[in-house]
Amino acid sequence: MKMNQSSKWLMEKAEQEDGCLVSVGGLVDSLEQSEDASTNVIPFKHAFVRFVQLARRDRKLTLDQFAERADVDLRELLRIETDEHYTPAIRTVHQIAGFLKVPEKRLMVLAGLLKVKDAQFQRAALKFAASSEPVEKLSQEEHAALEEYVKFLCDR
Amino acid sequence: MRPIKNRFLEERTARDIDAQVTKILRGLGNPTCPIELAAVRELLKLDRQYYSSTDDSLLREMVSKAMIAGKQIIARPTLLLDVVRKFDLKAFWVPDRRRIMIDKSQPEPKWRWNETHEIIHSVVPWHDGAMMGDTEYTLTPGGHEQVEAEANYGAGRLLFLQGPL
Repeated sequence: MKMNQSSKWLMEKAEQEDGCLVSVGGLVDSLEQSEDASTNVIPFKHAFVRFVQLARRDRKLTLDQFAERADVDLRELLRIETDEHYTPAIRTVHQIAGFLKVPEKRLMVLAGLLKVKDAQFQRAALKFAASSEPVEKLSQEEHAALEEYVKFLCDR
Repeated sequence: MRPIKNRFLEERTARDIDAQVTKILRGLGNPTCPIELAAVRELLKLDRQYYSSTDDSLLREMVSKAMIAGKQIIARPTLLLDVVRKFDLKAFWVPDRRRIMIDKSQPEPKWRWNETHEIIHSVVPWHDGAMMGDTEYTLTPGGHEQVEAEANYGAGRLLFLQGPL
């Protein structure tokens, strides 16, 4: 096979493809997606964040230790635990699922990488996301800050 | 000039895809360029077939064969025809048959890249877990973009024998 190495030709082709999604088609089972964005991304992602946080704390692991044992990037793990809008790398979720011994497809749904049409699964995620939130009493400072902000909101 | 829309892969993702490519190249006895895709298919026990997105009869014949092969297509016979047209597919991977399908109505110089891209889908472990052989789960647009970017990265690494990045 002879490569066309003319820089003029290469620049022309690069211009043509500039801004295009580079893809030659996905996988048979994944082709129905892209039409409707998932309507349940936020409850799922919130459940994912809480799940990873609680699973890590349950094992008494620091972020560092968890990242090392699951063989995932520490910065990415930190983003997973702190940023609900972050979509992790598929490999990362694959690794976490393996480490925590949970079905990876279900974890990928929570992480916003896969969709599933399963109302029960959605309800369970929402329930977990809601019930896993801490309910300990506010400190005096937190309470004061909240009161002050409520006052600000009401004054506006 | 703006870069082509693609995404940078997370470091470990690139590392693990590279490891898969290294395994293939080693399995082939560290070949020189140009790599023989027939040898890669043989090594990985992959099948390759052609279809044409512009020839209805070829597509229909393929669908009737696929109906025997894949449960997802038995369940929805029109799925393959629909998706090939709707998503303007130039190639795709049928996991349960370990089969790569290439659109021969595409210019021939593109077949090689398209085939290599699908080969990478077949060897990346988390692509299998993310999307294969299950009609219950489908990729979100974000997930789809990731697997495509990963297959593109791996295809480049395989075709260029892991030359300098």
